[in-house]
Amino acid sequence: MAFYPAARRIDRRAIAYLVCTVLVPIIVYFAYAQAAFYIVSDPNVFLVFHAFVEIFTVVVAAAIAYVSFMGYRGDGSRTILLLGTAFLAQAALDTIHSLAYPGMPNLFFQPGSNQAIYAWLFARISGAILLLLSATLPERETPPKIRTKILLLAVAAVAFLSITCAYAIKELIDVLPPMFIQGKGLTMLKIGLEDLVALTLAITGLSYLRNYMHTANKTILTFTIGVTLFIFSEIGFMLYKNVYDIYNITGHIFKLAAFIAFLIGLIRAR
Amino acid sequence: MRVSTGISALDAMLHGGLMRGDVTLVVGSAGTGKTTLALQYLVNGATKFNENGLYITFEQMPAQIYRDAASFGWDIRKLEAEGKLRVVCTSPPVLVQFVEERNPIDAIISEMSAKRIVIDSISNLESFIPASELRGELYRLVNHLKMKELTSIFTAESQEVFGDHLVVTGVGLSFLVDCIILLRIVEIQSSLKKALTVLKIRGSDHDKQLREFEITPQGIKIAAAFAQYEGVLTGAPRRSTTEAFTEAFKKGKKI
Repeated sequence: MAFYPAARRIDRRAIAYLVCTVLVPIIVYFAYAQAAFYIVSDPNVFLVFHAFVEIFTVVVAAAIAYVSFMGYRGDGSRTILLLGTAFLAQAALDTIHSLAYPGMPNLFFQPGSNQAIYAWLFARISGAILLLLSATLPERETPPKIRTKILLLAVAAVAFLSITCAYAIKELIDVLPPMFIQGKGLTMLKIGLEDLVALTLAITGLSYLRNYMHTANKTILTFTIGVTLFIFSEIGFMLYKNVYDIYNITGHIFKLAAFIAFLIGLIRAR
Repeated sequence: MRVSTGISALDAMLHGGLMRGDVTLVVGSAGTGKTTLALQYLVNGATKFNENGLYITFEQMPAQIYRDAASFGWDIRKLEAEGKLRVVCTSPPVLVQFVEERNPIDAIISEMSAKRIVIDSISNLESFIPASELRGELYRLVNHLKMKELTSIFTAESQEVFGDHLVVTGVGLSFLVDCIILLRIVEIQSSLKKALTVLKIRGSDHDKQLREFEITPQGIKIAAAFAQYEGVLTGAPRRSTTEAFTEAFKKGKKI
C-alpha cells in the first residue's frame, strides 16, 4: 500500500487503536476455541443485556442518520445521504430484530430465533450495501431544489424495507428457508450471508482506512475502528450454536463496541 | 413604504428595503465595505429609482471617491452633472450646524430635492464633539433628517476586527437609529470572508441570518448564509457538527 502525504499526520495512537481493534477480537475468539470457555447464558439475563445493546445501537444509528440528513440538506452530498440511509435502516430494522428476539412478548409478531435472524439479516445486508456504496461511489451533489424530495424518498425506502421485513417474519416465516435449527445451530445459508456481510464491511473498512490515510480525520478513524469491530461481531454471529451462548453474547458486545466507536466519531466531528 | 437599496439580496433581508424616512446605521471595521454599500445605495437610488442622493464625507476627497466609484462602474461626475447625486466633503462641525437654519447642507438638500443621504462616517464626530454632548447632537441630527423625510445611512467604524466583544458604537447611537446593518470580517478555513447581518429594524421583521458577501466589480453581492457554522460573529467560527461530519466523509474522496 502506498503512503500518502497525510500519512505523516497519523499518530502512533491511531496505529495502536487499529492494531488493538484487530488483535483483541482475534485473541478473544481463539480463547473461545477452548471448550472451557463455552457457556450458555440464562435467557432472562441475556434478554436484558440484548435489549440494552439494541436500544443503544438504535439510538446511535438514529443520531447518525439525523446528523447525516441535516448535512445532506445543507450540501447535497450523495456520500452522506447513503451513510444516513444506511444508519436509518440499521435503526429501524434493529428495532424489529429486538422485538422479534426469542423471549420477547408477542406484540406485533410471534418472536423466535428465525424471526430475529431474518430481521438481523435485513438490517445487516441493507446496512452493509449502503455503507459500501457511501464509501466507494464518487461524490456527487444533489441540486438544492430536489434535496427534500430525495430525503423523503430515502426515508420512504427504509420504511418500505422495514414493513417488508415485518411482513416477512410475521406471515412468511414458515415458507422462508430456516436460518437456525434448534439443537443443530446455524444453517449454511445464514453463515454464507454473514460471510457476505463481513466481506462487504471489510471493503468499506478498507475504503475508510484509505480515506483516513489521506485526511488523518479522527471521525474517519473511529468509523474505521467501528466497521472493523462490526466485522468481528459478524464472526460471533457465524459461530453460535445457541442464541444465548457465548458467541452470540460476544457478537453483541462487539456490536456495542462498534456503535460506541461510531458515537465517538460523531461527537468528535469538529 | 419601503426604499429599495438596489441590492436585491439586502432588500430581501430587510423584507422589502429600508423604511422611508428611517435612519440606518451601517457598522463595521475598516475594510468591510461600509462606504461601498453606502455609495451603492445612493447610485442605485439615482439611476434606478429616480431618487436623488447626497453623500457627505469627512475622510475622503471627492477625487478619491470618483476614482473608487469608477472601479465599480459608477460615474459619480455624470450623476452630479445631472443633479442626481452630490458629493460633499466637509468637516464634522459643519454637519452639526446642519440642524440650524440656513446652513449650506440644508440648502443643497432643498436644491436637488434629495430623498437619500449618506453620512460617512459618523465616527468622525467623536473627534470634534465632547463626549458629554455627542449623544445630544446625534439625537438632534437624527430628528432633523427625519423631519426632512430623508432616508439616511450613517456609517460607523467598529474598533474590533475580530473577537467576541462587539460594541456597535460607544455613544448609544444604536438606540437612536431605526435600523442597524452589521458588516464583519470572519476567518473561515484560513481565509478572510465578509459577513453581513441585519441587527434590527424598528417596526418591521427582518432576516436574522448571517450572510456572506463580496465586493465585486459591480458592487456588493450578498451570498448564502453561514448556515453550517457556529459563532460567526466572534470572527472565528467553528464548523457545526453536521458540517464537520459531512466533510469528513466527503474529503477523502476528493483526493
